[in-house]
Amino acid sequence: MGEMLLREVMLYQELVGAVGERWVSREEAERTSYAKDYSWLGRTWVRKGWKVPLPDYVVWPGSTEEVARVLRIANRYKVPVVPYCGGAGVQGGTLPIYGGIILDVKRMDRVLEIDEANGTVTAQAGIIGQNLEWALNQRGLTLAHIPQSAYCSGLGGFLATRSAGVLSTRYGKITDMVLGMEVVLPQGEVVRFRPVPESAAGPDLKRLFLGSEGTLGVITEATLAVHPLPECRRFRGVAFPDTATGLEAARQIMRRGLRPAAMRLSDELESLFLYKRAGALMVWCFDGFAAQVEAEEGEALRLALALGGEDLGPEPGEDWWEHRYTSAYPTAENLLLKSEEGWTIGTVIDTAGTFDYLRAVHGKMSQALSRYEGLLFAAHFSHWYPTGGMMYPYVLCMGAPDDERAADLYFRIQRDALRVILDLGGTINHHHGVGLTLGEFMAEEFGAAFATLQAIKRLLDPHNIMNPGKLGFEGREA
Amino acid sequence: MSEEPLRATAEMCALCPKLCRHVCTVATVTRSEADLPNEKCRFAGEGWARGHFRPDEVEHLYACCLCGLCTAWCEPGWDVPAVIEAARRDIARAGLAPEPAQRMAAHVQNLGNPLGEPRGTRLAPIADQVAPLPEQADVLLFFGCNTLYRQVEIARATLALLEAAGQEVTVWREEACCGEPLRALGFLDEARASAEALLGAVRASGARRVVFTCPSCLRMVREVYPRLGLALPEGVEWLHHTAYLLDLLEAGHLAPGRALGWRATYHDPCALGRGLGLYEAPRRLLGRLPGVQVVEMFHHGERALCCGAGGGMGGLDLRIAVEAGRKVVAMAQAAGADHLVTACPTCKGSFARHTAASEGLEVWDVAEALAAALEALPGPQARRARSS
Repeated sequence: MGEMLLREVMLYQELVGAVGERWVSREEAERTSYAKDYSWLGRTWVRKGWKVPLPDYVVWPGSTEEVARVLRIANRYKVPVVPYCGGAGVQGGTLPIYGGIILDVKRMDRVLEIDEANGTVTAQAGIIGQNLEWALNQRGLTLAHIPQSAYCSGLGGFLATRSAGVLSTRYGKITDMVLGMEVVLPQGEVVRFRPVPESAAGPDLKRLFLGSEGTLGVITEATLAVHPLPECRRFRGVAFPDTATGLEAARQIMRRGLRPAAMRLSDELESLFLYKRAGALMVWCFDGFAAQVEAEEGEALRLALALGGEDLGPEPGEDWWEHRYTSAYPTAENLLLKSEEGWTIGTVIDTAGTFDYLRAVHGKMSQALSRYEGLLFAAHFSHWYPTGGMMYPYVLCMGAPDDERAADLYFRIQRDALRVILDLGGTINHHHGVGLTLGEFMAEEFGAAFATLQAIKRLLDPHNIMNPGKLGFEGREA
Repeated sequence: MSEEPLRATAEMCALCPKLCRHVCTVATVTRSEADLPNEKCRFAGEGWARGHFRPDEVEHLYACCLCGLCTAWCEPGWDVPAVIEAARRDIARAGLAPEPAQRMAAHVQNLGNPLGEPRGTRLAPIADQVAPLPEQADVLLFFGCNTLYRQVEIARATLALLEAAGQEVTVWREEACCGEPLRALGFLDEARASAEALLGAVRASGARRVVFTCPSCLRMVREVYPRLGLALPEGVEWLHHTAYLLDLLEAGHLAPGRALGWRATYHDPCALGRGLGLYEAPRRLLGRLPGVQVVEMFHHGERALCCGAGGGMGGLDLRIAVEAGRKVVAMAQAAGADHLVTACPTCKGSFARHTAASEGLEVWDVAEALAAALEALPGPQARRARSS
């Protein structure tokens, strides 16, 4: 016992030595604030007052060098480190399930350079998305990475989870925006990837860290492509008779080479909820200079009308844009607190695949989950590519048990949904990451390549200190 | 312990994915999740459920400027400052308020100000202007502690302006704290004596208008005194000096003729803007001054940033106040302003800390700006000489 205590004292003192006393905490209130995220699991456990694993320390390094110092200390003491930025993830990626150190990068929140001529911004990983966007907006620029979590999540989290904003169809995911990056490896080495538009200098190693969710190192800085604020932004809504027709319209629009900033197709049930009308409703946002927007929107509308779509004018799109954050705020309605049918389960199962896949997965997943009493399945399709897109089902189960057994039901539903995804050849996640909740599916997603990924993890992080137990990687002794 | 609606607010806010974290005055300085509004609400809710607050929770519940920026960004509009104020009240009643809060509260009760300044010296710097004033008048000018002890130029300018406009003015010669710091720090019960004294002075003055140079004092009287069960005297108007001076200007009682040559930006004090909804009067007043070009900072109006010193933060944790104030100064500079104008002595003090050594940006109160533009009153050069 005395030996343990001394070890903890020394670890604390070394952390203080690394970043300064103000920037290390071991107080309980602070530790409990870092013990949750926005996953169903994280929120439910906290809301119910059930016991959650706490970090032992919270550390706020102020520089890349301080990050490296903390990782060297953690390696010597062999304690887990969970990199943390906004803590707004929905897959349990930042839950400190083995305790250890929460490494909060939010002190590193400076915009280092805005290069207007070359269209790039270099910023530290701790900057919150909206604050980065505002810094650019003041110079007439935009990153155009606007996820629903823009107010609460940060650059480091975007990169570590391969996030996508609502305008990704035109501007790309965060992974498409990155030119260069700085990463502190698990043992404290600092590596930098050159900020160039493209390269053929061997494999693109920086991509290894995109989506690594803090398991392979700490992203501390990135250079990203930025755009001029659009001269013109225009919204429109089109109603289709059904989801299948809407999907065909999306396919034709993308194959035609059109690039709406956003194109969001709601299936029949979501259309009823959001827009109070039958059929499948699609909203568009077109960005660009006026003639470009005019031409693109006109051509998209021509394709949609030819398929039997009904032009609803700008209002549905403007309404969607205006209220794009509304559902994230805590209200009795959003949290379904008024439900009298028991506890509510909400899963995050966004998946992506080719156009064929999208057509198939909607019906098959809905069918597979229909066996659950009280389950509600609605979906939207967005984040399009020339070859396909993403489906985000809204799976709610309002008849769940009001105790820990709710987790059994949560994972049963998730497994059934993921079975459909994997059998149809889609990916288990499009833009929220894997974290804790999807870890069990990584081996099947990657196939034989998962052994390669595991080998890389062992090579970079021999003591398995970096966010252990996430991404389907090995855990530690509790 | 707190009433039910506040518990419900606390429960809701605690479930948020932190959608105001990008602007929270304190958390953007400390970077701690525990200083975010949702976590403070969680601590409040858990403390109320438990029946007492732990010391570490108390620390975070006092790490708040009560600026209301979180609520301004909250679509459902959850009133976080009300939750924190209620939690602080329960904490203070239990004798668990942090030492700086207890000290400030004791100062208000013993010295009539939260700053630890001697009671009797309050009006001394403006004794020459106050001496000839009648005991009773149509207008009672209430300055507040921060104006008199820290930004006395605002008091001088406002008095001079009211006189120049031919107003019949008096002051409360034994002026003491309105009680606002007590409310902010959790000692609302103790604020009653301050409130009764102030209302007594208003009645004795016979004033029909009470004009405040400090928006926090004005908000305290208008919003909190009634909550204390105190009836405000009938037929009395409670005004901020910017609104009253604008009225005088627009009625032709003041005629600013000296061109100032400023590129000015206006900072909305939390208590005046989000608190009392007064955004336009100071801007209109500033816009009417000759040679003043008004530019807006990136964040302004309902979503203006906080100067960092609200909620007693200047006394609770100066480091937070300093760093938060620096952001507003940087934003004013980014807007290309050479004058950062505000309408609150606390805000002015927060900004002046950063601009004292700067050649490029000066901090003024709206009243000082108006006084500088009046040819009949001492100009900016005189003001600077007086201040030095």
